[in-house]
Amino acid sequence: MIRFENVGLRYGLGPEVLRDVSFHLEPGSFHFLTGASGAGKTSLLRLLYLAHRPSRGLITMFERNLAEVERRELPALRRRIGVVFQDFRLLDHLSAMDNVALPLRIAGAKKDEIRSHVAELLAWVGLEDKVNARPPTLSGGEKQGVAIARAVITRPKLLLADEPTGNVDPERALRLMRLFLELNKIGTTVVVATHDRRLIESAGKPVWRLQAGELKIERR
Amino acid sequence: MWGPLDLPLEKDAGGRLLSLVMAAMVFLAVLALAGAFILDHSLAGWRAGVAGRLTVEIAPGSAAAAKAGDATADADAAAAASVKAALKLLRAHRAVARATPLGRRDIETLLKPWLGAGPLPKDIPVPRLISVRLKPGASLDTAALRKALRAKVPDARLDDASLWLKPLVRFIHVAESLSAAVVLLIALATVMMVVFATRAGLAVHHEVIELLHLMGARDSYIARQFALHTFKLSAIGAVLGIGAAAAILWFLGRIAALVALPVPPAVHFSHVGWAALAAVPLFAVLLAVWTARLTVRRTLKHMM
Ligand SMILES: Nc1ncnc2c1ncn2[C@@H]1O[C@H](COP(=O)(O)OP(=O)(O)O)[C@@H](O)[C@H]1O
Ligand SMILES: [Mg+2]
Repeated sequence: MIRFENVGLRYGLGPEVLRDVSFHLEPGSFHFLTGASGAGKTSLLRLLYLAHRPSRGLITMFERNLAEVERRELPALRRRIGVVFQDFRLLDHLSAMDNVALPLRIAGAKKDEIRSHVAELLAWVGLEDKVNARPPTLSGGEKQGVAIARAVITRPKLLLADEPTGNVDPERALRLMRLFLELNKIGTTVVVATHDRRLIESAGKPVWRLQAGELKIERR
Repeated sequence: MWGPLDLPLEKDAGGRLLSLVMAAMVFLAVLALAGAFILDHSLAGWRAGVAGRLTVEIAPGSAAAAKAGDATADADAAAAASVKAALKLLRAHRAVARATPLGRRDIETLLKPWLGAGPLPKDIPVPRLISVRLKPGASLDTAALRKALRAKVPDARLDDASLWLKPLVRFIHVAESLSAAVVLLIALATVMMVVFATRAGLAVHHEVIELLHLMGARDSYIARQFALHTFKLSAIGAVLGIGAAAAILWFLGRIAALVALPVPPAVHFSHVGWAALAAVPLFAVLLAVWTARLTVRRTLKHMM
């Protein structure tokens, strides 16, 4: 589904933060991406969710060579990708409901369709009583629930999560892991960037390790 | 559609300013346009007033003769003879109902608005004028009459009553061009203000805009948010602006009526005139919305 060949990334004129990254992401797979802080996990995910183009190398995504994809074609590709950002990036002026509904609104879904769908997903992450709450009034774990609901509301083919358990209690982290595994079971390809060793061990899924911009693939 | 926008534009500081500037713009544009209409209307009134009238002007004695001092009397006599000859020709004409020579007093009255009250100094050469009334419905070949007159009285000049109107017409056209220029400048200023406000909004909210892009939003989706926001703010401003302008026009109309100014009160605009004035706020809002949309799309083109 996704193939990286000798991909390099540098920000502006800075040094390469990703070097010769090559991998193949099978559809329906589940991977952890780990590595020390500053190793390039977020940068690699940014390439995957099409926030950046690589400085060099070849990226093939959904049967398209990214180098040949024009700007106006990006929205259609991005709509197949759900992202849980490290800092959640919720919109503070919108209710939990409207935050989760955002990708559907962007895709032009109908109002009543959005309403039922959003309610269902908020219940799935255990936030059925926070539908009208705004993010600033939510706890860290609750915000994370909203962020995950928003990431999966369009049933994306690819789900990316950047340190999703960063500031969540262990119990909540495990619960979260179950959600990801559930989505993976119904066919979603998942990549979770984390340095939470316990999370990785609990799932028993393959781990990719980034070290100073280079990718090491290990199996456990 | 009227729910909260994805971009928290409502919280931006510049919003009230945009409404306020929009109100001022619409107010000024409506007044400039109304001014042009009032002038145009007055001109039409004056034109109607002079229809069916002609003026024959007998040039004053040559400047050299006038300067000589003792020749003034001769020049006067010559002019009087010319007036007599012209009157004879005019009164014999088929289409002419009446031909009346104007006295010096009448001419001073006519010149009063331009030269001030009181008798003119004797040494100012003043033309002799003959006011001609045409028979109602009579068709007149002005060129033929002018030629006949020229043949008999060489220093006579036929003017189809636009003698005094002409400079006025020119003045009014200048004034109208000026008000058109004012309206254009206002439109330009509106465009620039919206461009700056929109660019500021794009800069302030670039993170949310990136987020929307990453969730698959097209530029048009983001542009629509700015357009909607600009529509709300500029519509508020436009309503305020046209309200204030209408109040001022009504007030001016009342004053004009009170002091019996020869300016038609505002209520005498034609339907087209009213429609044009009402179109100003609509046009201003459309211009603002269109500008916001275009600014967003042009700016976003350079994002990934
Ligand atoms: N926007 C950016 N501009 C410049 N350098 C950046 C930017 N984002 C990240 N970096 C650099 O890239 C390297 C990798 O960062 P990142 O991908 O965030 O690592 P991680 O997520 O593994 O902590 C770091 O050295 C960081 O300083
Ligand atoms: Mg990171």
